[in-house]
Amino acid sequence: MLQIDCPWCGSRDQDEFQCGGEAHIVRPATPEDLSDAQWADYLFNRANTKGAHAEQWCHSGGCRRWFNIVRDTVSYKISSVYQAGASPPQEKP
Amino acid sequence: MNTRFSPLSEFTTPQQRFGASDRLDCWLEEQAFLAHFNLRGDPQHSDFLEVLDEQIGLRLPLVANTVSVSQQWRSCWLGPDEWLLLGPKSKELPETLMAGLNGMHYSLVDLSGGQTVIRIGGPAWRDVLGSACTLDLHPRTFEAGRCAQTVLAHSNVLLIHVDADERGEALDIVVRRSFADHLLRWLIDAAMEVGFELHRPRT
Ligand SMILES: [Zn+2]
Repeated sequence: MLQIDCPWCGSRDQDEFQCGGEAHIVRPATPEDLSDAQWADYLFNRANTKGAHAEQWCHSGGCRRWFNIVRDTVSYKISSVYQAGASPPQEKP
Repeated sequence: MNTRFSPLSEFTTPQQRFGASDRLDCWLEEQAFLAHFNLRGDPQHSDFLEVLDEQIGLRLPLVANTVSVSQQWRSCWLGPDEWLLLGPKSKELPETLMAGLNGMHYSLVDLSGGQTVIRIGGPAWRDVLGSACTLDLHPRTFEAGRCAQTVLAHSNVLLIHVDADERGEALDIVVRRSFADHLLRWLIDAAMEVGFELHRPRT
């Protein structure tokens, strides 16, 4: 079980959270101008990253706020937690 | 008929003693018919906190997972812009709140009928909770003035530390009414080991 640091509540069990998938996917401003392929790309295609992955989580069993984390998809190690709406932290070399 | 039934009113047998041992280290009681209000608003808005504090006498906690007590009301932090107000049944509070916050961006929802409170106390209450709660309830971290939302026996709950009960330190568990029966039965089962007393719902 992961321990996730909610930006508000602090460290809690993974059980209290729900993962909302890849973070920083921006909804197209004018969906009506997109082709079906472009819309499908926005809806369904994800990077499927191996390594550091920015993703959205919700503390659904606690304060019910959304936030972002960077989690390594191989080791499951969480390297940073940051507020929803903030930019992902720059990767350390 | 004006008889009211609280969500746990069927657990009415007064002063029942249970338990596998001779010990009696825990008690359980419903705090029935309290007023529960969910208040949301922007604490960055210059007037929001001020109106509540000065006109209504409610000081909202801004630190996550803390409670502030003003007059008869407990204000519990639920989120950076969300609080639960717990107190005696009153028509006055929502009216003064609505008058004071008129024109501001806020929301006030009466949840009184939708949730109830189970109070658990006695020397072993932390052990009883500990059999399912993943939070650290040690007095070092969970002390007076603290609250926390978590999942307890599959129920979403708000835990509030109680230091003002005449019987000693205790814990209030705010739970949705449809989960209340399940949660109380679960607590009874967990408390069997230490021995417990089930009190008549307090109204
Ligand atoms: Zn949280």
